[in-house]
Amino acid sequence: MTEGVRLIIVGFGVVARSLAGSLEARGEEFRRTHGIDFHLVAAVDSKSAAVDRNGLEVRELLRRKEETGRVGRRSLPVSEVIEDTEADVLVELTPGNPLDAEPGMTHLKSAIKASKHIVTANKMPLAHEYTSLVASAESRGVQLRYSACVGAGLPILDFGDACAVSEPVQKVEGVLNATSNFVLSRMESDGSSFPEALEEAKKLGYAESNPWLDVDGVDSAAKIVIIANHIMKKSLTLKDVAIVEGIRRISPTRVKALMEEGKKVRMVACVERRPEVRVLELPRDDPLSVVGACNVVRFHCKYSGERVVSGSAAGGVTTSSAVMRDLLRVGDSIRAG
Amino acid sequence: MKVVMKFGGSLLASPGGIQRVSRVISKGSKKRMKVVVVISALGEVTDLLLHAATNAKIWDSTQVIHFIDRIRGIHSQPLAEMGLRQPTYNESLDQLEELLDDLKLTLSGVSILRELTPRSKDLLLSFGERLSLVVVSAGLRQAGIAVEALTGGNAGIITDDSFGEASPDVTKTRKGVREKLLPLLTRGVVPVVAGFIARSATGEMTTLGRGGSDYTATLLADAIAADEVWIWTDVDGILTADPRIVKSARVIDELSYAEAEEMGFFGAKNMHPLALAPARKAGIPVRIRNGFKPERLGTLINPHERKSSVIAKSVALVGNVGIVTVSGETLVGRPGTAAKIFELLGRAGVNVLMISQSVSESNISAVVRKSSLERAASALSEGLSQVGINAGVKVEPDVSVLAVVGAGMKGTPGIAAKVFSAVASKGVNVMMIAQGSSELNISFVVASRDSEKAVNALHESVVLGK
Repeated sequence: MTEGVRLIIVGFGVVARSLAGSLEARGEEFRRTHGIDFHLVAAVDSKSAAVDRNGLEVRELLRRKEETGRVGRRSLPVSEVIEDTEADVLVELTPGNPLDAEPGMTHLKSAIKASKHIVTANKMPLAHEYTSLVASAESRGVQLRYSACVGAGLPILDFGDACAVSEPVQKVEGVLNATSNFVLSRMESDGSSFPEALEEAKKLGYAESNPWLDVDGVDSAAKIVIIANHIMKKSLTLKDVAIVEGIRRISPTRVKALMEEGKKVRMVACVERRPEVRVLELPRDDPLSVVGACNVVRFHCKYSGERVVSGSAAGGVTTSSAVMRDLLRVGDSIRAG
Repeated sequence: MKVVMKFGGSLLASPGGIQRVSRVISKGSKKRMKVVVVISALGEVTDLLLHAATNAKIWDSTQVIHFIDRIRGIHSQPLAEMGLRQPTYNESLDQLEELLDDLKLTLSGVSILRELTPRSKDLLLSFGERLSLVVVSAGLRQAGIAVEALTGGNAGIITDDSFGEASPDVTKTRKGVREKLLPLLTRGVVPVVAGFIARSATGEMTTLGRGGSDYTATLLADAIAADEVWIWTDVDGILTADPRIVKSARVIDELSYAEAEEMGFFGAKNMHPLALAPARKAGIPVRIRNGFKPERLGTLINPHERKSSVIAKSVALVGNVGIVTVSGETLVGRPGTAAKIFELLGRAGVNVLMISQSVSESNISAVVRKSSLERAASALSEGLSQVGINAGVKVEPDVSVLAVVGAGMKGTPGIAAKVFSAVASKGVNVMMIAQGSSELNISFVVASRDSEKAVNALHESVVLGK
């Protein structure tokens, strides 16, 4: 027997479209392997909303978004859609706003109020109010899943959870921004300047048109907050992170000189006591010296020492695979009752 | 002919603004003018920096970085749009990033120390003009103009170290500016000077306060004995009245320094009297011109007070003011009461715009900003009773000051009557009146609800002479 799971997707950018595409293409597979039948009952973007309690026609929705830039014909208050539509899970995919985490924060709070489970790839609400969001979700018996917020498709939080089962994790450090790492790698491989390498990253779709969140270290700061809170049970917020230095001022000359010494420069987020983001010069063979649009995290465990997870971590498809992973877990638990 | 040209921030930040500026300079050079350029911060950058100055104390890293990114955007956009050749483009971006790095350090310092000293505030505000200098000088070079980019300090402007409103050391500044700028002009190079900022004798960044970049322009003009100062803005010149209130307002072709200063005092969008002073002392004419319409001549401020057929040149309206009135028999025949009132208000930090005493001496009224009206009233009622003056204190909150300015009023009999009748014909009651001793202005107070009617009536009758 299959269990119907009704979804509301808020935020309809690259990740959401990739997710909707998989729901459509792999629906039969999920029915067979997990016994779950996903229905998209509402979709909301910045300009409009589409709601159908019997399930929206996903192919039609994607076509309309492509042609008109909107998912629906009219605009509805998002909080009302989240609270009043009969659904099981809110999938929150709006872009992260580092200053006050809105509108994502309001969306999450509406969903918790309406006792809907949450799967999100928007790290900013968690970076701002992790502790209270997690506590209020728990008190309402709502699942809050956010593995897509860190590492895109790379299961960093799951890996950290596993490390922390039998012993405390005392320190976490990592390269958490794939765009910046791509830029630095490009500067190393062909001697490009920062602006040239960044231009390349934009062309390949790794970097936004305004990439300050990535290259100035804010995105990494938000991620280290989530990792520290989730794995090390801290109650940090984005405000606690000292963002010492981003990668803008790294010159090709410095990169070249370091290469000759057998070193690489990497933007590393770190938490032991006080969290910080800074640029470090690392030996070439250090596990953190990864190359390309990748993430790497080193967990320092109390007894077993260092554990490292690394891999490709950029783009809408890998992020949507992490959202899918969280959705199936929520679905499994609904099915299990 | 030597001309110091100052270009305002809204002009520089407008689309194609820097190209427009370069055409103005090239045209001047073709006419064999030796041009010194003074620039302001781009568009709203000074306001943003002021906002940061107030708020950086409570900002975290993210907010600092976000702010820097906003400032970056304002400057990198015009750089990207001017089609710079390499390596100029990359060099300009590098200079920009270097300054932004310093700005970030300054803001982070404020945010960590949770304190902003006047010294660091000056440093913070200086970034507006310094960043603008990178963008504007790149644009002018691109247009084929040989330029040398200088901060106010590098151009030779030396001040004391009263941060926030530093006073120039005239002798040192004249010497320094001459030594720096004259050789450049001889070589045909256009010095581009970041306005508003200067340097103390010990080498610290200072700012010229309210006079701003206009002040930089007149100081440079005085030092190099320029023939004229041209202030390029986004308006046609100094207007006879606020065009939002008076439809028939028009540009004033010519006025004297004294008139311009009176108008500046009454808040006309105009040069600050402080900024005008060096030009006035050196007798250098100043023109206010519209950078979007360079074919127009704008307003000429010159040394001579030329008597014209019109009685007054402009009517200004100052809203958001109130009257505080002290009255009582004990004031009669008691010398020094007005002085006492001034002293009490001064001590309470209240700026008095106008004062008048009735002939009977039984009451004295002062016009003050509405924001300080309550403070003024309580300072007076407490202070006067302490020195044994038993007087009532009354406030009148909803009033406006009208100021009529013009040398034509000097020695012309019946001006007050003409002003009164113009206002009275619209049924407006005049509550208070004062004429400055220079006789260049008459100012009076009316109820705020009548103020626009009164301005229009006055403009018709004493400015347009209808």
